[in-house]
Amino acid sequence: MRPLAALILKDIAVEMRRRESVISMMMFGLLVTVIFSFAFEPSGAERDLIAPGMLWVALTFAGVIGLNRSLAIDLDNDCLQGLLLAPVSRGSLYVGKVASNFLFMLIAELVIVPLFIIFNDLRLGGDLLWLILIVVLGTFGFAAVGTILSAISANTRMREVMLPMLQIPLTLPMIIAAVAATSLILGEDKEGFGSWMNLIIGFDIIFLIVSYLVFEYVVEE
Amino acid sequence: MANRTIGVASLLGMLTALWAVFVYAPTEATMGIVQRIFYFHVSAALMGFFAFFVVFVSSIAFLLKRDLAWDRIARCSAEIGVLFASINLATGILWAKPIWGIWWTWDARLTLQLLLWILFVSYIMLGAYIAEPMKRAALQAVFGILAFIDVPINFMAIRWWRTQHPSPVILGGEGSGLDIDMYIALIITMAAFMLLYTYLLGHRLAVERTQEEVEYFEQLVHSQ
Repeated sequence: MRPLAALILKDIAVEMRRRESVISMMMFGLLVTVIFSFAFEPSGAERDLIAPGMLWVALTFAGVIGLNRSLAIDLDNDCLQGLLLAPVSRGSLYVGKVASNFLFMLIAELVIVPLFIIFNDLRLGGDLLWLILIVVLGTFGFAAVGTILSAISANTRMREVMLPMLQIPLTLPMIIAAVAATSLILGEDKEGFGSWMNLIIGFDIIFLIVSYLVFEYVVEE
Repeated sequence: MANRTIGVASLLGMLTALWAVFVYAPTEATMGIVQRIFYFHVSAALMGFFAFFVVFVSSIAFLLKRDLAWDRIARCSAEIGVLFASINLATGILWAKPIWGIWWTWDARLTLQLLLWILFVSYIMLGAYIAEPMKRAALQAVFGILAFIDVPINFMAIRWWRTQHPSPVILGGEGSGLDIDMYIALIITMAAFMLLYTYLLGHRLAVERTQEEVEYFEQLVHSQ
């Protein structure tokens, strides 16, 4: 547990100094929200129909922005080399990175989601807790897949283009499930909510395990 | 030499398939002549899946054995898989217009097939952007495995989401089923496509090997 904590604290320390990742995610999420409002000018009932899609597009693109630099920064500074020499398993490196990416994305969402609710005048009432649950579980799956994919794209030319090309199609089932679950929350009829949540949880677990197993092949020299 | 035999066999297979599809198989009652595209449409879809399955298996084999021969098979099969998936999508669009009245609909199976196409085009692009061969092979293998695992999850998500595509005629539930002659025509077409896949893969692998040899000699010349 100690090495894992050290890995996460290292990422937090870097982020505290640069403050790049979280801030750019927040601003990008906010920008997407604003652009969608201009593009659709949703009002009243339409808003509840469009809002789930808008929210997840904002979170998806903001997430990709944050993940882009996540492993590239370790690679550029030869920090990864040091981490590989450290007496921790490759799996722990992956889990530590997922944890810090998850944390940074959640912090950004702490700003994006409330602003999204305010700008779109969403009336959630008691369902707010369910929305938080969807966002947390969805973000976790996004971070689990995104961490290994950002490690892959960090090795390519045109990193910033490659990550969304890999990330968005791969996380599509999770995005579909999250959008569907969010619409059910905003609507009257809640039927099928449980199966969508199961799909998100299943996605999180499967990709966490598979990525954990193959991560060593991505970082090896 | 072996590949030439397969080439001739796939040519004969394709001619037989054309005969089976346009002469042997009966015309479908409600859709008429247009339905004959079905044989190519379904065969292309199945061959696409098969090719992507080969990518998945070869990717695992590469990570375990560290033999670039597996990587070569995975990459070449992915390209041919994208080709078959493209044929499937194109014939689907042509078929949908006269029957459904629309070129495209975001129905479960169409969406899944398009997504599969996108995933493996991304797979090919990924390979193009990494220079070092062993590194590229390992990263592509990892993505190939992740992409293949994604398919069944996507299938569930998209199926719950919506569905308009006809339920499977083959091995489907009640009310499904093909005329026996149509079945035979489909099997002939599938066999011809299988031969074509094998032939293309053999050729593609030969080109890839030649390319690697050329690169090797280029390096040799430059290092002198």
